[in-house]
Amino acid sequence: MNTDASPILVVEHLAKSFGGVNAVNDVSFEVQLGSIVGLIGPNGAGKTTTFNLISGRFTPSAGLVSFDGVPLTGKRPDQIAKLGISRTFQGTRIFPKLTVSENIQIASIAGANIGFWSDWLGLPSARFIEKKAQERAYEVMEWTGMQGVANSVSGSLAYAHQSLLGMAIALAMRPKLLLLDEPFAGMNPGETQSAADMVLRIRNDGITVVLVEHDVPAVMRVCEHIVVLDQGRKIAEGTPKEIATNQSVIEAYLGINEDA
Amino acid sequence: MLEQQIANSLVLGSIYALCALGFTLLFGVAKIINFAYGELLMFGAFFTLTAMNFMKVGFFLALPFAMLILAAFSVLIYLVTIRPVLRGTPLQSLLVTTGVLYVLHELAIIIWGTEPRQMDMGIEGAIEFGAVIVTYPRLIAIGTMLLLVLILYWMLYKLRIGKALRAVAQNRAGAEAIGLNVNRVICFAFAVSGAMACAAGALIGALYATEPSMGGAPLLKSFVIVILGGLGNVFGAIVGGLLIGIAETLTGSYISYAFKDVFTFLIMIFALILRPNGLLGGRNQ
Amino acid sequence: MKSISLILPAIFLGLLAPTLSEYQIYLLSLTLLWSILALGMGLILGYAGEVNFGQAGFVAISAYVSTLLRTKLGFSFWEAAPIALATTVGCAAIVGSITMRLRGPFFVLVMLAFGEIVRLILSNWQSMTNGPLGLRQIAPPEPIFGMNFQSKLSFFYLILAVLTLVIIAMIRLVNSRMGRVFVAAREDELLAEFLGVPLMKSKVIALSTGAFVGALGGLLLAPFLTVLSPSQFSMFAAVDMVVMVIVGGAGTIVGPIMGAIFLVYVPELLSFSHEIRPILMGTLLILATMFIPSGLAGFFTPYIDRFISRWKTKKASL
Repeated sequence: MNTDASPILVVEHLAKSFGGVNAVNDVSFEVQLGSIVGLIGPNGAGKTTTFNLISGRFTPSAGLVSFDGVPLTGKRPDQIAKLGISRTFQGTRIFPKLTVSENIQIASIAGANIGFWSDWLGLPSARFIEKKAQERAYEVMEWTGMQGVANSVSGSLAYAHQSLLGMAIALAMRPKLLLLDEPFAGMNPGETQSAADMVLRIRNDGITVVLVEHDVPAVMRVCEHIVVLDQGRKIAEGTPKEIATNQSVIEAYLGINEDA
Repeated sequence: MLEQQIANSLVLGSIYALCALGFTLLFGVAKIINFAYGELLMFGAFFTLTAMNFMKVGFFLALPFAMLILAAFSVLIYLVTIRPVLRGTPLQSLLVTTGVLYVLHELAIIIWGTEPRQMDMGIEGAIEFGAVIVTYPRLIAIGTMLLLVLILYWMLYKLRIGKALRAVAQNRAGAEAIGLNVNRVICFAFAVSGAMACAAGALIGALYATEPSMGGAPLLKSFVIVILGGLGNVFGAIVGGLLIGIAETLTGSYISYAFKDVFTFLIMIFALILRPNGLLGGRNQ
Repeated sequence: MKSISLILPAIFLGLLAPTLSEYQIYLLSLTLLWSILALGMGLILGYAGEVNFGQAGFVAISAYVSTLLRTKLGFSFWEAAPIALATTVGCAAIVGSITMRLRGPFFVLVMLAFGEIVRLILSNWQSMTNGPLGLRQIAPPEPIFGMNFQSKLSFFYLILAVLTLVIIAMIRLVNSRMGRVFVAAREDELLAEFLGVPLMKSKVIALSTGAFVGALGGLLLAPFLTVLSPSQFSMFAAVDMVVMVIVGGAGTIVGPIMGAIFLVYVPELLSFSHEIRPILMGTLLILATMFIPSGLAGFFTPYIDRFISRWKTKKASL
């Protein structure tokens, strides 16, 4: 156990029920700073709900989420985003009518702390922050290799590109923690490999990553630590090797014979 | 005293419920807010009045005739102005029906002038329930509402066209997929809505007055009732109508007559703060 | 950029004005006043994505508060103005925080109800507002900084100045971070929220800003018409503004202005009688919604865009 790395995210006894159905039930785990953690499990396990609870889309029925020591309960999504957590969405959410470059620029500026009056009057302080945001946006575009399509209307891009854009949008916010919701969905093995490499590069850049995925082999390759959920409960946690040989995990997946 | 006020409020509430029924039916089936509804109602009153004057018949003969005309009129408006934007944004249908509102309102002023007219139901007298007095015309208003509600329910749940209406209300794409002619169903909804508006308008015209500006308040009240009762929810429209009738009459008598509408709106806003999806949760019929 | 193309006509008008007849000055003033009102409506429509049928309520609050402060408490126009504006924005903030949670028809309804409530209060609070008879003989603004506003021409300049300021402020809004974020948030609220946009605060700001512009219009409306009555501020007044925005082109700055020009001048030039005007408005609204959803401004935009893209390539090469 690595005792000198501190957990950047702590999830304690998290629970969420929707009208009597326990989507998430007493889930606890920690995410160490600088790691890549995978959250896997059969359909309906509560993975995306957990993400929604962490990022503030839903309020927990019970339990606590803390980020860098700060409790997140009751905070709105925009407040949590400003604390340094950003996420992507299943099925990818982007601004389809804007170009790729505009998408990333909006993402880098949306959460910035520009005062109402300095923004409107175009004061130097606002312009300075804007310039920094534009630089960040350009950086992210280069980093994700999207300069080629910078001026394309994002709605017209192929799905894999849109997915990449979704990640770029999340990165533009300069997060400390990045939540990726099914980043490899709908990708062929080649695309999955590039995306997986990107995830590694993100982590090496200093961003902690937690991802939800159905593509278990990809998760095994990319993640150092895996948490397995089934029907709302955590059934296992450990390194990829430990998980691969874990009896309850195998049983949970036995009912499902095909890939996502 | 209180019993009389409650009786009065039931009359008012019945009229409001009748107004709201046509409005909510349209929203349920066609998913549009028909801002011109109040003007349709007003035209219904004037059609009834004109029928009475020209055909020299009584109120109760003129009314069904006017209802038929207004049903056709309503369908015409749908086909010319609303159908082209039916698959557009909600804003578009809002704007288009607002345009129709303008045109109809001014048309009525040009045709009939701004002087309020009276319509005589032709029935005098009142009935007494203990200390409460209800004039026959008012009783008829309640009766008409009940009759039309019964007819509506019979149509919605016993007739095939009613099933079609409910199907389109619940799932337009699905209804299309099983072969329903959605356009014709919506036409029918407009026809029924127009007929109900006519009845409501005629009753208001007979009990109060008939004038071109009479459509504004019913439109607003119907909007309130339908939002509170649930968009597309027929039962909610009836309950909502009665509640608003009660609220308005009681605040009018006991708090302030001049500001009773203000209080009704404030109550509505308060209700929406507490339940942003309407009192009955906005279930579709 | 756009600012030049809008400021130049303003200067042109300013230079042309002294040569025009009093009737033409009246028409121009009316057009500019409606432009201000339409811009306020357009701001809310363009940025919050909703129609505010209660916009006339904001205009009314500003008009009545400023006038009553002048007639009952002897305030000068210039003292009453900031108070009237602040009151209106305050009301907008309160109403906004109630309505921000509401979607679609609910929002439309509550704003409509708000407009009605304002009108009803103004109509029934006889002791304060003189009820349906309204306020009469409203004087022009008192002289300030050596400028006199007694004549129609000088008042025209005042309206022109206010409109110019509003346009400049809106151009700044469009270019600001806030403006761009508003537009994005309209496309996908959820995504915007997760990017750090405080949705509720943004909506209240959008409504309050639109109300402020409407309030500016209301301030000028009172001395311009010299009479105020509650019936002027019904839902129909709000619809007039909506028509201008839609016909002229929603989501642009030029649009509402073009709409105002079109809707003031076309009936005048064709000498329509008073009754036809609402029918014209209604028909135009229907036709514009069906056939030119992006309005007159949208129609001309491709030509403007070509001009701008040429300018942009010049800028990019710097």
